[in-house]
Amino acid sequence: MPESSLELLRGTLDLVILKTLSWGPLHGVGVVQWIEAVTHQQLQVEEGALYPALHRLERKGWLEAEWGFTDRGRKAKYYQLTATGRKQLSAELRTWSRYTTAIGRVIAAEGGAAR
Amino acid sequence: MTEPLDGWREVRRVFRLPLSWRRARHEVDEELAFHLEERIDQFVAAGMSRADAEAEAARRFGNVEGYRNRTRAIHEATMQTRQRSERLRGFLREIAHSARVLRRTPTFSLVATITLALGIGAATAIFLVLDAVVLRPLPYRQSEELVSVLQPATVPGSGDQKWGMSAAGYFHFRANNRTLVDLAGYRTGGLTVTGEAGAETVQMGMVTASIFPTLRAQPLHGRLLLPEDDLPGAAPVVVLGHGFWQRRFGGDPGVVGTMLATAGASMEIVGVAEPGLTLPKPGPFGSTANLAGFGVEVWGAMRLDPAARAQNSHQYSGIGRLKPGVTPEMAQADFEAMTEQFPTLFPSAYSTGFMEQYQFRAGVIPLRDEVLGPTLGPILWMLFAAVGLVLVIAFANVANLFLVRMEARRRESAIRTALGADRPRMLALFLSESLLLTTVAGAIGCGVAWAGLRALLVIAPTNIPRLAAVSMSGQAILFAGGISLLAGLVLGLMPLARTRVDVAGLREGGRGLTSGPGPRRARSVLVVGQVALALMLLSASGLMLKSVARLRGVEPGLEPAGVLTVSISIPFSQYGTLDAGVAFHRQLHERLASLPGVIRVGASSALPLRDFGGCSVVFREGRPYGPDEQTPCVATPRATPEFFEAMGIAVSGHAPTWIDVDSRSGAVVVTRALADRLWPGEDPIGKGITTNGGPDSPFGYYRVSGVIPALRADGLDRPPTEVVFYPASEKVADLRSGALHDLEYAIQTSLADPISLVASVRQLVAELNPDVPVVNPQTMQSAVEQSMARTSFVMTLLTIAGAMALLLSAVGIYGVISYLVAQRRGEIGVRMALGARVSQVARLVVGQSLLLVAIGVGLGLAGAMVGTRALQAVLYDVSPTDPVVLASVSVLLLGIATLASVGPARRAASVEPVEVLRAE
Repeated sequence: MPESSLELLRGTLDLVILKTLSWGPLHGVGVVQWIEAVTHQQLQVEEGALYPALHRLERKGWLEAEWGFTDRGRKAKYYQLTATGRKQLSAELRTWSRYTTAIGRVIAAEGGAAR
Repeated sequence: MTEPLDGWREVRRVFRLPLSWRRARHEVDEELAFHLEERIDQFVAAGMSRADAEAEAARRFGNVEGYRNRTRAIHEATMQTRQRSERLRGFLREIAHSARVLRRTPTFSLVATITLALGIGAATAIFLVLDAVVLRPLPYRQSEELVSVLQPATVPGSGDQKWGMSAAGYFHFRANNRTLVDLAGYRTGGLTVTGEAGAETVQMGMVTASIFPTLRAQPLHGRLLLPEDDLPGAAPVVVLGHGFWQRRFGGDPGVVGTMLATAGASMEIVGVAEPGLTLPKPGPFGSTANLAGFGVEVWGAMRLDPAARAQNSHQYSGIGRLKPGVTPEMAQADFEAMTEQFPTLFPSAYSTGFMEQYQFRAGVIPLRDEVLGPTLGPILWMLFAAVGLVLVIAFANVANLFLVRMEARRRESAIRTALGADRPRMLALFLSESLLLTTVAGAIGCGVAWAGLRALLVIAPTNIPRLAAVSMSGQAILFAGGISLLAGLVLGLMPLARTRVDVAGLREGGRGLTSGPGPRRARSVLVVGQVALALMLLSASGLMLKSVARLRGVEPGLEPAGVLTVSISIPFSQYGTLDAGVAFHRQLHERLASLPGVIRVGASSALPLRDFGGCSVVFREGRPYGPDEQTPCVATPRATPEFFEAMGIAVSGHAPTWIDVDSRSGAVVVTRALADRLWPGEDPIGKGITTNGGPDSPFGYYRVSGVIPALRADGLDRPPTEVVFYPASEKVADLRSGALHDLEYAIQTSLADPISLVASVRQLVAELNPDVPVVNPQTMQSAVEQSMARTSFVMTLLTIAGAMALLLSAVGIYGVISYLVAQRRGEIGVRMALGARVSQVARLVVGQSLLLVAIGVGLGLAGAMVGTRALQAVLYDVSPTDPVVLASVSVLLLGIATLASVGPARRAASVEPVEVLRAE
């Protein structure tokens, strides 16, 4: 594991899961692998934490789950975005981008300007 | 293949019952196990050793147990929500499906629903009346401990009467009984309240102070009457009834301590009673026209004197509260023993001869029974039973419709069964259909009950206690709902007996699909039962119709048409002597007679068919009563001249005039019934008669100047009344006894609506004396109607029930005979092909119908013989087993059966043999 791997910010796991599933249905392991692949393993998340989150999102009606089989014939539970889940994703993306812009401005601000 | 376990699973599926939680947990376990295994495989594939891969997977996953538990909790909650909503959705889907199925056969659904709704509505309406009048307890705390204390006597000439307690009796009972916590006495009457708000007569309860602790009543403001208020010579104080206080004083608590102005003395208001506090019924000899409780507006203390000389005067209704563990029977024995001591204790008032001759006794019964009376409870239960029978008949029709429908759907059921729908599944289908139908019927039934109740309250006699308290309530909905549910369950479970053999329906193939003997017999039983019940109901209504016809044929001995009656009371304070009162009334008579539309005006202290009561012993001149002869005790009202003419009461001989009044001639009028008792076989004109004080009284004897041939003043269903009408003036001037303060006016008019005269009467009286109230305007016609009200009420309800039963039975017979004809089409076709004539076929069908009905009629007659005995109390001059009535309704039912089978017979006769044979 690289020393510089990032702890996932609190509350952003939902966003990550929704975004991950926006490409199509995946099981839990699929979600983990996808995050690893896009972030080049920089984003570190305890894999177990994924499951309470998935179930919570399912309970909210943003995801729906179905049992299916993997390529290698293993029984797995697949999650996929619902219509409301999709709406939620775009809302969260907007919030996130406003948030990062704001934080970015704070960081980029010239020292002494506020003094 | 319907194992009970499979069946259970099926029902559970149908009703979407929750799956076990173990399943939900297992799902999470599987999901996590997959994750770990998949990861391990990946790491092994990437070149790790198995042990390293397992360690790495576990490390990356984190705390397995912690995540597992958190996930499980969420998952279980999700499953729970989902199952709940799915169950609801499934339920709605089931209902929607049932509604669709029912809509496919609109005639069936409509007829079945309406039939049931009518039956449920009628039963609910009567149940509400029964509940309010009979089942609900009296409005007092621990009212089951309360008893009524009266002194029944069998009065020669008048029969059984319920006298109240005497003052001496009250004190004796209260001091010496061993069975009551407390005893109270009361009588009821009117009080004229005057003041700025105008004069009005209010209902007054004169009570012993013990009434309040006995009833466990509480004051709202101030206090109730105390023992010291009830002492002879105490200052008169009053307690206001809650309703009167609201109405007259706008609910102002400040009236406590002020004076209440009345036509007599002013009285201090010491308190206001709690809401709803009233006396259970009017006092003895009070009007029985309105038993709906006695709404006390003002409570006053009687202030009886315990030291006064005992008198044989029974004015006071008694109410007692039983000691814990004491039964009314024990109290009855206690009071009987005390009453037997009367001749010893009060020899001047109660002779042994009197005790025997009048069968003077004590009567202690539960207060509830006294208020309800001996006949009302049974009558209402009987009406309830009648509507119950209608409901059963209606249900039989609906059950019949369901049976027919079941036959028609036999193929469908058979196919479904063959396709794997097992019995529980079919059962759920049938149940949801029948429950949907009966629930809708129950809801409509509540509406029917509401409408029926309103109609019922209009036609009901006013002397049914607490009828005003009847209203639609949660109980009605509960009752109607219960019946609907029960009906739905029975109808839905009916096919259960059939589905077992239904596969036979398929095996028989497309042809025939004739049903076995089972349903045919079931349907015949339904018809026989219906006819039997209908016959019982029709017999009951026939008997009531005959009673009412008999009652209508009774001559009341007066002419009620166009007669207006009002009560007019003049205050003692302004008219101290009888003559002063007579002067006022005479003036009023003359003024009233001059009103346009008025023909004649008369007045009497009691009106026939209204509250014609009381009992005074009369004596005849020159012939004391023998030891074997019963002393007559009769009503002795005073009547003004022209009272008889105004009332249309025929008098042979001389009816007193104002000349008789002025000259104090002492001319009295007696009825033929009394004359025949006093002077059998003689001409009563000129005979001497008196009431007060007997032969030695200073009044001397009055002379009979006229005889009324027949007068039924106590009620049309009672024997001709024995009565003596005294004149308006006494024979001796300035005797204050028998004051003429309260008079009932009879105003004979030429108006179609005599009530329209009331305004001018009020105006005229106010001109004469503004302190004199005019109350209780009624028509004499209504008094005659009221006298028949109970009988007419029962008749109306039973006739409606009977008509419904008849109609429903006709429909039932028609349905079954049609069905049987359809069943025998093939047979009929063969018969006709073999040469049977149309008339023979028709006779076959009608004969079959008549056979069923005849069996029903036979059973029904047997039932009616037993059942109509319950009517005895309301029948007038008709035997409960009147052969004419029973024969008529039997013929009526047989006729209806013939008519109902004409249609099917015609259909049978039009069978084309060729077609039938080809179809076979």
